[in-house]
Order: sequence, then structure tokens, then C-alpha cells
Amino acid sequence: MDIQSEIQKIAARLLKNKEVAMVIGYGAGSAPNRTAPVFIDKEKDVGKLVFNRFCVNNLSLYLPRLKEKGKIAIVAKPCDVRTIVCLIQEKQIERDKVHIISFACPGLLEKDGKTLFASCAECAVTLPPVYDTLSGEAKEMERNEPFTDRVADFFSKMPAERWEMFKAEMEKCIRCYACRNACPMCYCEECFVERSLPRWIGEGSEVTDTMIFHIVRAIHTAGRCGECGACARACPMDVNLAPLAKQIREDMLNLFHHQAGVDPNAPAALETFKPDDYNDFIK
Amino acid sequence: MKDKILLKENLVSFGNSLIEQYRLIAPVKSNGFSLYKPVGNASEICLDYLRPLKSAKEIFFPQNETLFFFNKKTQKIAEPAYDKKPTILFGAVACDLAGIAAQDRLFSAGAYLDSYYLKRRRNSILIGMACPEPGEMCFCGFFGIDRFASDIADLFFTPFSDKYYIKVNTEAGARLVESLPDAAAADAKTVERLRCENAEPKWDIPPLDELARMLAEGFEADVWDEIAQKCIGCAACTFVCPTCHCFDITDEAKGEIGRRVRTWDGCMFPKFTLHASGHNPRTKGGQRMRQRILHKFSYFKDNQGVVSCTGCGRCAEICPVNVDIREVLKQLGEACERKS
Repeated sequence: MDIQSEIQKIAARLLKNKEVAMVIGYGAGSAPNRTAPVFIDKEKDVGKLVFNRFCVNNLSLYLPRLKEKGKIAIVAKPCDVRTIVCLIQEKQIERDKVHIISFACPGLLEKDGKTLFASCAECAVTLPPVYDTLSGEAKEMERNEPFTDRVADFFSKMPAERWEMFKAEMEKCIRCYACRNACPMCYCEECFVERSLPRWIGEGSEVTDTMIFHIVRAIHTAGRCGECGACARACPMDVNLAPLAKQIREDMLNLFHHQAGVDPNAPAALETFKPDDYNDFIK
Repeated sequence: MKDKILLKENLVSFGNSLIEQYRLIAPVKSNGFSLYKPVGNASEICLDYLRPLKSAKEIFFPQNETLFFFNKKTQKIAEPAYDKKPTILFGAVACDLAGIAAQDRLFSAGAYLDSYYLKRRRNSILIGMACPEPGEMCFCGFFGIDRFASDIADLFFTPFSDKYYIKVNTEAGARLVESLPDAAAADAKTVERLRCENAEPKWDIPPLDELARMLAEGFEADVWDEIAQKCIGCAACTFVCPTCHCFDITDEAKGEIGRRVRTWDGCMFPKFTLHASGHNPRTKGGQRMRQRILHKFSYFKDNQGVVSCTGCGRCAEICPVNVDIREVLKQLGEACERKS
């Protein structure tokens, strides 16, 4: 059975047996090569659930805001499951209040229907770290040029050149905050950029303000980023911050031996302290 | 005023002849899409894309604009420097020109004259470009927008074979194309044929007058919550929209010296309506979605006489969760039908 049929079958069973109040999944989009989030609470509607290689959203962003509905089933790619694990670790949702429908992920495609997304091309988590039901068979994905090389390429450049590259990306940003709002880990009820007393950054698109937003967001997601790439896919202006995110991921792994969202029983990175933690940055 | 003809191969030299006297803004290729940007050489003009990713509104209503600089110590304010060179917007598609027409009504034809908008807009010339084929998210035809003409444009280009047919609408436009050869009657016929061949498809969206009734009746409808459920509350839709015009005004200061800035804001941001008291009249996504749709199809129409959606499809195109304004209107229609 294909992944889509399996998802529909699982959703029908969960709703029929009243095991969950709602299934969050992907539905047909309004144009080819697109999907849209759907919220199904009746068994008769499970036919609306689709699965294809254009399921670009990380639906776990809806979990905290829908938790008062009761137990919720969610269709989640393995990378999305990593953020669900982070949300559990951070006490935003409870493990027994979410039913994870996951699958062996074939990787997502850009709207051209051909190109594998950059984050998928270098994804190491084609199977979910935890799940309640699993469909599909794990198989090797086709890969683009290794992503890590591109990160290394960025960090091999001289600081002045890196600065120019970073600035050029920042100048593309229109401050619509689609990246932040598409990110399940950006669940703060009040983001620092919107605080007016005191005001942290200017509202406009001054490049220095834009930089502060992106740098703070990157640091805020350190050790919490499931690398799902939903932020990059949400960006209308194609701002590429992957080198920044990837370097933070590497630092978390190398300096703090922490990988986000792989073990729901492990504490969150920012909630642990070990005497031998890396602290060379404190002078 | 006679219509003119420009050979496609002469577009760059024509563009460059304008650059000497005008600030030329045109679609330019940028990271796999196009954007309206100032061009230093007309060879940068790129007409390969359906339409620029962002609308043309920021040319006259920039995302960020310093209104004035202030010095609290000296109690003085100063106006920012302003480039008096007139602007030519070249290659604007009909949906964007309709967007400018809507902005004109708002900023220059009503009770409030926006001097910041007007100083740019009055010092500009618009050159439109026919859009041969609507994109998958486009529905300008629903609003009766003609992709092959625009009254607001000073000149309007329609490409055919190896030429552009130039419809001359104003004296200011005529002066720019004086030296070009006149169009033949046969050319006009060709353009008219092109236009007829590209008749608009039918739309399964409730017609505008019916929509107005539905919006009035459906203010409290549950469907808004349903429609808004997937919305993530970013403002990408409002920022790429040719008619969204809400802004915020803030002071940015370092000590006693600073500036007052006007910045685009968006009604889809949950904090857009947060009052100083802490009260927020629109806490739910459904209320915010309703505001955006009603502003476009009801309030703006009541106040300015036209709906403020041009069917450019950009909001649907870039929405991270595929909120498609056509679907929203359809859903609203279905909900009203269910009720009656």
C-alpha cells in the first residue's frame, strides 16, 4: 500500500475509534505541485488526506495551539518528528496527547517537480526517531551536491567576504516573518522583534535590524532545530540561511554532544549543565 | 496621439535613451525570479518571468520611508533628501497598474493627500507591458482587468512577432516615443487579435456583487475560523500585494537624535491591532482573515469605489501554507449557500 492510502487508513481508524479528536495532515493544494495543511475531525473526510513529495510544511507548528482539542494525530515527516520531540522536551505538548503518523521519507521536491530540496538532499534522518504508526519502506534518497560542502565553503571564506555574502542574503529579506511563523520551535507568544517597550530592533527593513532578527532566531533555535527546512521553504524571497543553521548544528554536536529532537527522554540542550561543557567563549 | 512600434532588438537602446533623464525601474532578474528594480543599463531588463515576485507598489510607497529626522535637543526637524529625477516604471503588468490605480485613489484622490506618496507618483511615468498568459494563481480577468491595456499607463507595450506595439495614452508618454515609427493599421489589428485569442477563462468564484452581499451577511460566519485555521500569521501575502497599504509609524532614535519612519505593516500579524492598553480586538485568526478579505472586497470598495484586489495571485503564489484567495472566496460562497 502506498503512503497516502496507509495514512488515510490509519486516520480513519483513529477517528472511528475516537482515539484522537483530530488528524492534522496534508491536503490537495490549489495548484499542481503544492499541498495545504488540512484538519480532519470526521472519519468521512479522511479522503482529503494526500501524501506526495510536495508536503513542504512542518505541521507540528499547529500542535501547541490545538492541544485543548484533546489528543491529536499528526502526519509528520521524520524531520518534523524531531521538532515534535523538541516540543515534548520543552513541555509544549505531551507525548501521550499526540499520535505520530510517520513514514520513511522519500524527500521533498521543489515546485519544479524535479529538484530535491537542499535540506532533504543532505538529510540524515529518513526514518523518524519516534512514532506511533509508520508507513512506507525506508530507502536511499537521491542526493544533490553534498550540503556540508557548501557550509564548509562558506566558512572557508575570509570574514569580509562572508560578511558580504551574509549581508546580500539579509538584503533579500522583506521581514514578513514567514520563516519564524512556519517554524514549530518559534512558539513564543511574543517575539522580541515585536516588543515595543523596550524596542529591541527597528521595524523597518534596515539591514542591521534584519540581521539581528535572523541572528537571534538562529541562536534561539540552537539545539532545538530539527533541520526540517520549513523556514527556507516558507521564505518568499529565497533567503538562504542554511550555512548559519548548519554551523550551529555542528557546534551543538561537537561542543555539547547534542542533536536536536532525536530522543524524547533526553533533556533539552538549554536545560542541562555539565561541568565539562564547552565554555571557552567565556573569557 | 499616434501609436508606435519598437523593434524588440531596439529595446535596450530605447531603455538606455531613457536612463539619461529618468530613474528607470523595470523587472530585473534576481535569484531565480524577477523584481522591479532601478536599472543602470537597460540590458538588465528581464521580461522572461510571468510577473515580478513583489508588486510595483514600493516604487511610490516604499516598505520603509524616513518621514523626517529630528533632534530633540535643538527641537528641529529636517526633511530627508529626495531624488528629484523623474521615475519611469517600465514593464509593469496590468494587475500592477491596477494596483497603482487603487493606491492613487487611496493616497491622492480622497480626503487625505499623502505628500510622501504624491511627490513620487506625480513625478513618474508608467509604461505597461502586456501579459500574454496568466499564471496558475492569476485571476485578474475576474475583476475585468485587461491584460493588454491600461488607462493609467502613459504607454502600453504589447509584444508580437519581433516588435512591440506601443499604445500611446498621454502626452508625457508620446514625448518618450516621438522618434519611433508609427504603428500601421495592420499592427493594431494583430494586437486586437492577440487580445481576443487570449480571452479569460471562467471563474467559479461568486461574482463581485454577490460577494458584497455575502461579506455583509457572513460577518459572523463560522467559515472564517475554518478558512484561517491553516494561516500561520506571517505577512508575506500583504507585503507582496499590489494594494495592501497598511503601515506603522515609529521613531528610531539614538539619544536625542533620530528619525520618524513609516513601515509597511500587515493585518495578518496577530499584533497588528494590539492597543496601547493591552487590548487586542482581533485575537483570532478568523477575525484577521475576515479583515483582510473585507478590506479588499467591501471596505475599500465602499470608501474608494473599487475593490482592492487585482487578481495578481501573488498572495496565493507565495503563501507558505497555500491560502489561496480564490479558494477563500469560493469557500465563503459555499458557506453562504449552505446557510440560505
